Amino acid sequence: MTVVWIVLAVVVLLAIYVVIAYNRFVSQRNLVQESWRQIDVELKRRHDLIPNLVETVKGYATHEREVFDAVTKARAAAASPGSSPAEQGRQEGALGQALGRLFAVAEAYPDLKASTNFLELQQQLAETEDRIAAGRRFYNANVRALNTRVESFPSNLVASSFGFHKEEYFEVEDEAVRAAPTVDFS
Amino acid sequence: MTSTLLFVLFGLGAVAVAVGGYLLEQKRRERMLQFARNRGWQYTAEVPALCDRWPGTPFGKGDHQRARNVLSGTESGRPFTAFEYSYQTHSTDSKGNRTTSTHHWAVTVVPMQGYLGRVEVERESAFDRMAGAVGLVQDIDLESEAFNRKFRVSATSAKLASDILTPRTMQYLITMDAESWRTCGSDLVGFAEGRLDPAEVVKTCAVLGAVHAGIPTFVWKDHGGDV
Repeated sequence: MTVVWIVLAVVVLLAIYVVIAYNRFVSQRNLVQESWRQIDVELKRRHDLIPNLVETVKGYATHEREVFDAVTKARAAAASPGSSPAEQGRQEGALGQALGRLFAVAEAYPDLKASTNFLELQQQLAETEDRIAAGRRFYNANVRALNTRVESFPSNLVASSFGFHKEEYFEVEDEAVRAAPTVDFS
Repeated sequence: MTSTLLFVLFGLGAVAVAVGGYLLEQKRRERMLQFARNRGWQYTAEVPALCDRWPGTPFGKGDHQRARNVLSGTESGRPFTAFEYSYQTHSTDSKGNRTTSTHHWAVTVVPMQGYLGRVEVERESAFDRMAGAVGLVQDIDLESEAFNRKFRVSATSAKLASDILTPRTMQYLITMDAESWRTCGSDLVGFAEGRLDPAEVVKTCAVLGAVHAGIPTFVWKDHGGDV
């Protein structure tokens, strides 16, 4: 009789553990999805700023067609929906490089560099990139926490039983997005 | 006769301890006053209003709360207020003997440029680590393992904590071996168990100043309210 009670107690404890582990996986998965959505909003904001930026530069540097085309193409690829975080990271990296060339062009036009519109767009872009960098850290921290549980024992047993899997990190090669955020030292 | 002598000796001993304690405390106050003068700070013996101005550790516990040895002024270009906060707790053993304990905390407050939600960074104890592992206390893990081992982070929003604790700020807090602190409305409040040491106030002001300076600009736009 005692053995039956012990077995029953073990089964109940196991069931409680599975419920807690399952709920925690659900919560972590939702947090990962939510933090990805936050990055997505910032990426969209970045993509929306680029056409204005290109038009502003065009107004001063009409002969840099190749650079404008590269930025437009990279923006279109990055803004296409349905990319995985890793894929999105590669596309954002390419967009960052194209933008780098655009800003290099702007360096050669003092009137453009002094333009209020250009300066404002540049500032908005820098701020958006700071937000993306912060969002990327938060997203990757949540992914790391989820992936650690998916791989660790005994939570990996719950993960494999209920189809929880490792998520992709959002890695960006673009220096602007990787850089530390702007801080106000005032 | 012997018992009377013992009683007198005990009484004299108690008086000597009380006078000695008073003199030591006076000497400590003088040293603090001198330190404050040398750095252009102000010294106030006691400000009762500081006892219930902020929520959270170490405030709101026990009774006979006092805020003494209050130092204020500007350090590293930022205004600050530091004080020794104390309160008493009481316990009664099985024989009915009541024991009173006085707890001392050194508190340093640096105002911020705006209001932020609560983010608390506490030195992590072995108990915190165990409690965090089983989910009894909130512990937000960030990307630095060294930081996660040294500090426990709790916040009203994990995203806000992640935004404030940038890699640079985390590294700075590790390097400086910083004490616990939290954002409290529009203040950064540093707190450490023990008596107030003016030299430590200088270090804590530097740490809180660096935390404030390290808060990204967009955080003030997204989360911060104007003071």
